[in-house]
Amino acid sequence: MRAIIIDDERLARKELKSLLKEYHEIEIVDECSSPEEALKSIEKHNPDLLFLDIQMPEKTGFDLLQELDKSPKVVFVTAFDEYAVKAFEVNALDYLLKPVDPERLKETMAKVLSEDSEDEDSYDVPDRGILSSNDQIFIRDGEKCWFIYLKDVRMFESEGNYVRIYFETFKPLVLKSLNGLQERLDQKLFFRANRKYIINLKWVSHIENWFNGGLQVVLKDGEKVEISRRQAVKFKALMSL
Amino acid sequence: MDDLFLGITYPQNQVLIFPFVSIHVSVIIHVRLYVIFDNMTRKGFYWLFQIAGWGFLIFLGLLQEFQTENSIALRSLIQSLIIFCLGIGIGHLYRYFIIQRDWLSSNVVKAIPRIIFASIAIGTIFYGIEIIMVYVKETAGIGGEKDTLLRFFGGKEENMSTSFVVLRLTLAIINNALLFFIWSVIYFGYHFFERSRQQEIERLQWAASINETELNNLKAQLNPHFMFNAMNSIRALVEEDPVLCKKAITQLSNLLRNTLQTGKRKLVLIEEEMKIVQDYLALEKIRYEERLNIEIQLEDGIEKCLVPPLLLQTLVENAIKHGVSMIRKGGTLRIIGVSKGEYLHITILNDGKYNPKPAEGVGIGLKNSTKRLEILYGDKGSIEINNVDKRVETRVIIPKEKINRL
Repeated sequence: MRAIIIDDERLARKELKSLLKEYHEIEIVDECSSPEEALKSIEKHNPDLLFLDIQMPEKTGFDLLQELDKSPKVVFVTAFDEYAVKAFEVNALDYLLKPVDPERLKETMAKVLSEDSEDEDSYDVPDRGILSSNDQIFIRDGEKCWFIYLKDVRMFESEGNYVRIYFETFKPLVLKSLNGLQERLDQKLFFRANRKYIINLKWVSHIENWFNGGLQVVLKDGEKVEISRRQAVKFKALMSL
Repeated sequence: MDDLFLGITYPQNQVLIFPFVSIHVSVIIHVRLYVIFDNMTRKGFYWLFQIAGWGFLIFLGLLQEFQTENSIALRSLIQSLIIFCLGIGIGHLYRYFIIQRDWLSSNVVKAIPRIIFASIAIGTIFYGIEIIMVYVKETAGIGGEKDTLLRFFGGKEENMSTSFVVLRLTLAIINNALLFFIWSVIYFGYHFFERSRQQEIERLQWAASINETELNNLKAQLNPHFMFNAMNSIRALVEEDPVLCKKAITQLSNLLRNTLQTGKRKLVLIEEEMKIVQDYLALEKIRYEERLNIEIQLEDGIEKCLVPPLLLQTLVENAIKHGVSMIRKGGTLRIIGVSKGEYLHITILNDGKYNPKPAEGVGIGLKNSTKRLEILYGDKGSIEINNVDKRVETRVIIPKEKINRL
């Protein structure tokens, strides 16, 4: 696994690096002292894993994740940040507390590495730049944070300059445009139903005919989305053999 | 309640139980009284006392008449009612006078002669009104008996000596004065009791607020974020620079020991405070390395002046937390201490920007420090934070004090 360490303190990076020495599966491809640096480095190295400090000057670790389209696996490494840790009430990721306890690190690494081997069995690897259903995205809405797999998203709804993301029982709002998002999504999985919605086809329960040659899609959790006439033609073409 | 004493089986212990029970009951009464005191308004309580007091008095008079005469004349009833109303009325005017003159705020020693004097005066007035009433009654021809006025003065005997009349008169006035003396004792007693209770409550509130400040200080001192980061740096130093590592451990121990010790004192020497600040800064320097520059300029002589413990430490820590640690390239922290006349000016300058409206949970350190200065120096001490050309200036002004106050 290729990993990047992001921490503004040199000694903290060094300490973590020395702790990670015994994990031969992990290759530290870069060290970054700020989120800005990390952004470039992530683009360059496309790592599988980030060791990320939360409190850093100018930008926090959360800010960095928000700027990424898709997130590598993330292990937070923080000194004491009850608020940051609290943010992850749902989909809690692993986090390490400084100074890092080697025993605790062992547990975390076991978890990270086992998830990694699962991923290798997984199917579809789309073109670079397009997000696959197994990609994780980081979402922050106010005080709450989530890491979710794209396959768990039922639909995206445009609300002005924001997009509302539907998954599980949550509907957080993030600053993104639906059009921009559509370009990054796997067209085989996510379908633009109309001006307002992108739906996850895996979550479709059944389809009904609707007025004016449109369709109405009922999702597995009962939500109903109309497919406009123009999109319905595409939809039928896509769905037919 | 009996089951409380089930363990005691010997009959002779019954005697012992009694005081326990009575203490228990008196505690209950006490508690109930408190509840009544709290539930009733003070005014309601006052009227209750007025009515009950005067009511009890006329009841005694009528009871006495009933016992001697075996019946109560209508005349006596009316007379009692008049005394009842008069007593309440005059008592109420007296209360108004007490409130106007602000007698309640004085202490007990001052209050007693006032009460005696006022009681005699009111007793005389009361007696005077009684005489007028009897006179009016007589001249108006109401009431059966003649010579009532004379009876008032001591009896029907024609050959009374003047001194005897004066004696009777004096006794009657003293009798009335005694009534109002008792009235005053109850009234003032209630208020003094209430006041001492109020003072007790205030004292407890004050003690609680002091405890809270202490607790907050302790929390602020042992800033966990700093502590764990320092430990993390030290852990990394073990391999990189064992000598510096040892030094850092000593500094951290000193810092811990000194914050715990000086935190309990009211004031400390600036040199003691600066030792803590320097240990703290040395540890932050290990963490931030070249990102943190430190400059300290203290005027000669001020190291023997006194400051509240951990005040500078708190402000320096704030400066790092909101300044250097937020800037990628880091910055400079400058501490300047000078004496200006009767005052000490200590300025902490750091790169960054001060946001006067911090997020929730931030700014506690500053708030506590301001509160501490207020308690210690009143309006003579101050902390001001300002943005001065891309830097934040924290200025502490406190009266210059030397060791003799310790």
